[in-house]
Amino acid sequence: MCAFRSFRPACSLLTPPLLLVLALAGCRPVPVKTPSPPARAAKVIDLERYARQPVGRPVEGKPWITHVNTADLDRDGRLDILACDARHNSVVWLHQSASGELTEYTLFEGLSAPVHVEAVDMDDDGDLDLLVSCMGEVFPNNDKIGSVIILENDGAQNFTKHVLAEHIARVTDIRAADLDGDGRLDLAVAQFGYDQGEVRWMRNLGGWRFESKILLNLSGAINVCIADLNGDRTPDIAVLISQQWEEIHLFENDGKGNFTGKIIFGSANEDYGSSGLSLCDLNRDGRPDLLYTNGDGMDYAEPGKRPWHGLQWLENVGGGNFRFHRLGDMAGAYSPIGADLEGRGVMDIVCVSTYNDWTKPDVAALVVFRNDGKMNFTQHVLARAPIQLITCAVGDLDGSGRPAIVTGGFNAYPPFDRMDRISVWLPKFRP
Amino acid sequence: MHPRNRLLLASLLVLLGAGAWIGQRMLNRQAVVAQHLPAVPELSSWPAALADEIGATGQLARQWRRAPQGLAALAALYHANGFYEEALVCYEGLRLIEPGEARWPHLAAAIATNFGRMDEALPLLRRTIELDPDYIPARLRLGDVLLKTNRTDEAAQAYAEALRRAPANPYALLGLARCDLAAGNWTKARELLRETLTLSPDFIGALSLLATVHEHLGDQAAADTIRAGIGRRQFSDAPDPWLDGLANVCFDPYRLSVAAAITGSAGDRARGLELIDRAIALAPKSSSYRRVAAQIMLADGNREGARRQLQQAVEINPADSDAWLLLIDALRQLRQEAAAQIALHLALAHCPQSAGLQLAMGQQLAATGRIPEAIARFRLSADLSSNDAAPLVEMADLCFASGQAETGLAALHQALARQPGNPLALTSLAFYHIVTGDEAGARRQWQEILRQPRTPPAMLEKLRQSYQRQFGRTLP
Repeated sequence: MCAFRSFRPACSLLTPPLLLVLALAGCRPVPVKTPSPPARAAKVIDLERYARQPVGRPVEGKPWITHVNTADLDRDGRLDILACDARHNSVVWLHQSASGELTEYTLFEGLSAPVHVEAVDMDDDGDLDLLVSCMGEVFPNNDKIGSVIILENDGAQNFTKHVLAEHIARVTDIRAADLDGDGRLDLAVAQFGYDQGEVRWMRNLGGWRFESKILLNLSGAINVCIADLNGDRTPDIAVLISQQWEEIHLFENDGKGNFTGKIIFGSANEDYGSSGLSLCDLNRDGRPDLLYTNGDGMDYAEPGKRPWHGLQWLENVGGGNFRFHRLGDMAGAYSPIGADLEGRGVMDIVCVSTYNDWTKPDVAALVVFRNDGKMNFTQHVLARAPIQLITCAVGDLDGSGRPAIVTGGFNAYPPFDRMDRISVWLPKFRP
Repeated sequence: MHPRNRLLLASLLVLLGAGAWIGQRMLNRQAVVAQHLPAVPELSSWPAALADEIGATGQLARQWRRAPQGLAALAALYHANGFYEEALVCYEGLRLIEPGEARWPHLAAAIATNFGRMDEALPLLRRTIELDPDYIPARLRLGDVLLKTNRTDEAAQAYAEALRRAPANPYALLGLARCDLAAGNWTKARELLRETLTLSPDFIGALSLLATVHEHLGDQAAADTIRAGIGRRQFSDAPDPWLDGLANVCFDPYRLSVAAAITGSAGDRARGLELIDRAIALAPKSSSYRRVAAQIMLADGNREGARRQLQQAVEINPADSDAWLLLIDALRQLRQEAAAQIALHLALAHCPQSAGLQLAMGQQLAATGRIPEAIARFRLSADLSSNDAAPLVEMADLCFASGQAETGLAALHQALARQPGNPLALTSLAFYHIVTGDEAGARRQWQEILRQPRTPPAMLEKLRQSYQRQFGRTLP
């Protein structure tokens, strides 16, 4: 019954707005679509999982180990460690003896700012030669001081230096594959430069002669990866470009060394901090995926972390197409390496942290993104020291079936404590 | 009913309806805001002022009348201080209650692009442009996102539209040049980059790319000329007032210092100083922020201000060798040589392992004719910094001048082993060959020098003249 009995006409007029008010009052606000937040992998502090063992020469001064890798250099059935020491302009070999002891030898000195070493049998003589990327100077420099170097192994770990290219923009990565189908191993080369850099491939003409072809003229190339990335059974090249570009380019190969380039990822954040790119079939679907870290914090002011630093997975969905997945935040993330760390048939990802807030004792230095097998990742902090690690590698050093992690320290900025050259991290718990 | 009563009644009804409508809108608005107030994150490691601000703006957002302002302020606080998850929730709420405001999709897009999530950023940027067609940073960002997702034609359209609305915008021109490069049109890219540099001669993005384009097109001389002049300038993103303004509510001194350095290097030194002052206020015991402040001041010609900041920096942290070096430099710029010398001695007492300070001491000793001591300092500096060529070149020059040619030569070879192509080492070696009458050696070095675009033109001319005098011929 209408409450406004004496104003019957008015009551009829008043009813619709009242009903409207009542109806609206009963309404809920329009359902809200919550935006997807930045990925934050769950974090587990797992400092007891690995035991650290410093290897090689002791720390003297401020170490600049720019790259570590694993290879059985002397083919004795035991995995060794290779490293670039940019402080001493040398490539070193940590040879593993029968007792499992690692002894450091300098393989070659006088290489200017070596930053990447790969062991490949370039001349098909049954031993492993070394591809060494030399920047000329690690820190920003626009001069043409980079060089592409192969150290030819005589089979007894005595090396002859072949300079394949010099006086070029600073070289950061070299990988080998037969890119033109002629049976010889060619090279893909990343050249950071500074304001000017390049990506080139070098056709192997035989007799240590190579012919260069430029693929891309952008500064900031950090890594090259070679694999059949588009499923056409020919090796393609993926390149990570940092500086202001912050892009990953794919160069699809027709099998004869003719490449077509495209961008497969790009950030519009010029301070994204691209820091590392590697190959890994993360989801085990047979297609090589790309793991990608952004953790560089060297530009502009004091080096440090950024909130967007982290780890990404570019899932290869076939045909040269990739799907971007952010796997987790990680301050100063560098050197993403995919490996089945626990023998579960599942690929985990190891990363190290270079630029972080090292004044805080509880920040992560070495991390594993542990895969639950369904591509859900939990961040396990394996170590908080040594700090300023820039490179890592994974390999079954002791033949136990449980890979060890190898790390290298690059201590260019304060604080100059908790420093390390090279360490091996052995899993404490074995299957 | 009397007509007057009818009118009164009708007015009452209209008022009631309007009141109900407004009340309902406010109810809904309040409910939306309530749904989009994130839980306060862990703030124990942050300055208390941030927690206070978040608390106060949260309260504001809960108020009946000022909820949108409160939510907007909260979004800014979260965004500026790196709490992106919380900021995104706030922006989603703001987009619902203020659907006509372009800032909210733009700022949400900025978070998405920060994390490389271009697919999410794209619709947000398109929405921003619909709402505010004249906000150029959004158009530039849209172009960038399209270019990086291989949609080159659409990217070119976005840049072209930005350029139409903001003629001469260097970032739009650079974007168009990149689209041309992506399409393989190097000549057109060169024209665009030249045009960019005509309008903005110091724009590092265009300078850097034009050198590359010249090189690609075979014009090495033009590329070298540009490269020689670039120095170590750094690229910075196009100014974005909506985004850049967030720094006003940032409570993270490190983030403020990065923002200050970027802003300062982009030329807005007043804003750079404003930001670094806030960083210093938040972390007064950090010497590094005072160093950043001093560098901005020095770039602005304010040597006295820089000296004051650096003096405080070394008082706070006497082990900060970089601050000492800057202080000595500032004092010399102020022509306070005695004070600079005192500072150098003090610095070395605190930082004996600093290669830079030992080099500075070597230079000071050399300037006062104390040659053996200077050579010893240069050697020490070279030993402390095993990758640096500079102390070895200085040492070599001093050795040549004091008749110790062999030691000097060895130092130069060591310098070049450390840094092949170091222009100073190469020119010193060339001078040595000229002076010793080794014409073949001088010509060999000359070829090496020509490969390095950073060699100062005055040095090249001096070499030419010395060669001419010694050998009676001109260098090629």
